[in-house]
Amino acid sequence: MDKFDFSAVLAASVHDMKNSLGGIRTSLSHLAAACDNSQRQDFAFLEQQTDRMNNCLLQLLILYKIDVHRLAPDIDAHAASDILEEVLARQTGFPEMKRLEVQGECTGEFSCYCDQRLLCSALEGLLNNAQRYAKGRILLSAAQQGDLTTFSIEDDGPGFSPEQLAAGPDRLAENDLGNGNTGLGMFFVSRIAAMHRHKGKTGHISFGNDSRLGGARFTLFLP
Amino acid sequence: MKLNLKNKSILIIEDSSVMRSAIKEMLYSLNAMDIVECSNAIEALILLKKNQFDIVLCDYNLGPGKNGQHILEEIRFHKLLRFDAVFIMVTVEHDLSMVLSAMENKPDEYLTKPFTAQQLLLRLQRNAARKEFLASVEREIARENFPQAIQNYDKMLKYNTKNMHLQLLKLRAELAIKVSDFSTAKAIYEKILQQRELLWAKQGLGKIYFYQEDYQRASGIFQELIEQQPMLMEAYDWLAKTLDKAGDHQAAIDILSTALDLSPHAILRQKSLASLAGLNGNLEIAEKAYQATIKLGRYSVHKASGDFSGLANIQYKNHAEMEALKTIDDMRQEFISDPEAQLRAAVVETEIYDRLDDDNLVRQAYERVKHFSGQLGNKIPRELQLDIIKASYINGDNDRADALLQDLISGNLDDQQFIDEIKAMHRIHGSGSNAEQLIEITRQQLVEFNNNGVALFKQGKLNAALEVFSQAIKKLPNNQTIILNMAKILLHDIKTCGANTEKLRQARVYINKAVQIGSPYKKVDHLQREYARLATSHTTL
Repeated sequence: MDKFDFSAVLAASVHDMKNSLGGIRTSLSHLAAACDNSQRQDFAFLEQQTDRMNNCLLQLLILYKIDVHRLAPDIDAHAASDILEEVLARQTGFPEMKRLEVQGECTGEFSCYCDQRLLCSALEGLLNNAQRYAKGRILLSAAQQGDLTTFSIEDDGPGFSPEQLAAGPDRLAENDLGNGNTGLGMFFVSRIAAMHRHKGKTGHISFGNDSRLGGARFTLFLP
Repeated sequence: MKLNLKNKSILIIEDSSVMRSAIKEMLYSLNAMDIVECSNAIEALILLKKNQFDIVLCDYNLGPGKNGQHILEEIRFHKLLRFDAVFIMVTVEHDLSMVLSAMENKPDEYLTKPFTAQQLLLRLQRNAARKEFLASVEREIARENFPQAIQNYDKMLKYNTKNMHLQLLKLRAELAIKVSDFSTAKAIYEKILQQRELLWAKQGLGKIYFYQEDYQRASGIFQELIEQQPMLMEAYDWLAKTLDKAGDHQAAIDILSTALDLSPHAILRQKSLASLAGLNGNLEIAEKAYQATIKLGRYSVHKASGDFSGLANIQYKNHAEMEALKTIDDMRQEFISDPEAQLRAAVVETEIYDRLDDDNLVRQAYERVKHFSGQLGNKIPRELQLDIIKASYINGDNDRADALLQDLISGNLDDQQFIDEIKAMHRIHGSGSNAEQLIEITRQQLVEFNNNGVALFKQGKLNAALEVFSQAIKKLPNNQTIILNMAKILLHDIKTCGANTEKLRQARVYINKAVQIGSPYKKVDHLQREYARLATSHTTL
């Protein structure tokens, strides 16, 4: 058999899966609308899981496009509050079900230079992740720090383990692998951050347990 | 801002009934009352022609037939939506790049499936706010009252320093380009680029260099852009245009081919490649591109009989006469009772039957040429006019051919490239008459008109001068010298006798015309500045 390009085959299949999943997602919300209260929880769970899968497949596709040089960031000025609103708007019924309170906070009116689509996917991934660990509250915030714009996600969950903190962002992906987490989300976010460059500065991420809510915090810095 | 959908009329175009009712539910939850839905493009276009919608939600993929992009093209082409209406394209991730790489006719917003009601609401809110914010300029642009639009922009720029500022600057620069005020646009782009390397600003700067005929700088910028963002399809189109203008036709063809490898569905790009390759004698590429254009045009508002006759022409040049005749047949099928298509068919047939030595059929085809060109009157594009003249010579109808030739020369005296095409055709087919001589006579006529007009102007007889130039424009409708002088005198009239809206409009029309027929930048720029000065002082009075 001829040599074939596995990643291209994979990307095509991911597209296919994503389309099917979109169909499932639509049918689900239809069923959910028609069901009685006792099933609400199950549907909310199903919706949240399909959204996670969808986000994961989307990230894979974007990474594939970056890899074959078909995707360079489309940078423009966007109001930071618009970004926050968009990410929050993508949330479905799941936080409500888990009685999670997800808040957005934007200090001041300011714009940041970013690829809105990529940034929103990255933040959405982080938010999905925080939902798994948070007990009651999540805070999504944007602020200006010198000439950088920061987007933070803070929760009130258990926070990172000392090993994770010691490993640093680059090793976090590997470390997480053992816990059944592929680390794709982290890898994706740091790749997206790094695609934002300006005058010698490069976007990056940081994480720690200095959440204002007592749990974990992720911060994305954009130049 | 709280958006109320209660008074908005909304159209949903979506082929899946499940998706349709899901979207409807979302809209109802946002207080919408007036929702019309349909499942395909044909129904959608009928509805759009009959009603004025405020919001259109359109799925990109609508199954066989026209897709969402085709609908959007028709909406923009036939102006089926008001300037403050919102068009949102709904796509799956897979089709997104197709939507984003559309050369023109971009939607106001797009949404990728799956999306939540909240996301839809956000898009609608943001757009309503944006349209409201920009209403004072968009309204003037829709009326083509550009000086007023510019003034409104400048007022807004003065007071808005926050989130919308960059957006405003972008639109302001685009408007400056529209009225050929390149120095203002350039200043805006350069200022933005000093702060941040934004690709659209860089592309804008490239366009300015292009219009200022600095092709070296322009192509440098477009090349850099392509390296930075390989999917920025517009940059390829601009690079190709620039290379072509600079005389490097083969490089332009190569760039368009590369762009089409990346994004093969852009019909206008296929069209430019076809005609460029055809003119350059690159028959293989031209044939392929014409075929692609025809295929893509099937459901498009850009479908044109000229693409079929273009293909037939290439096939004729390739000595594939039977294939060419087949293409002509296809064209007749696709454009039943369209006189331009009939004319194109007859013109190509004249040449084909001439080569096949069938005098009878040549004569019959030529009779059709005469019939349909009479029917079309002065609406015949110039390339087709040239072909008609060719057909006349082939039939030995030399007097008619010479008369038509003179008209064509008068209309295009400034366009050296086209004059060369005329000469080339004449060398092969023209008999008896002398094209060089005709060109010379027309040139003398022009000099006479111009001298008369300028003399009257210098004597201070403005109205008499304007009259001479109006006459000249009737005779030589696309002549740069005459159009530029007409504009100059109109501006002088405004300066000395005072402005009114009608005078300004007229001056604007001739300046735009001067740009459109490719007058040298330096000459137009001068008039442009003068116009801007007069228009501004008029509107601020």
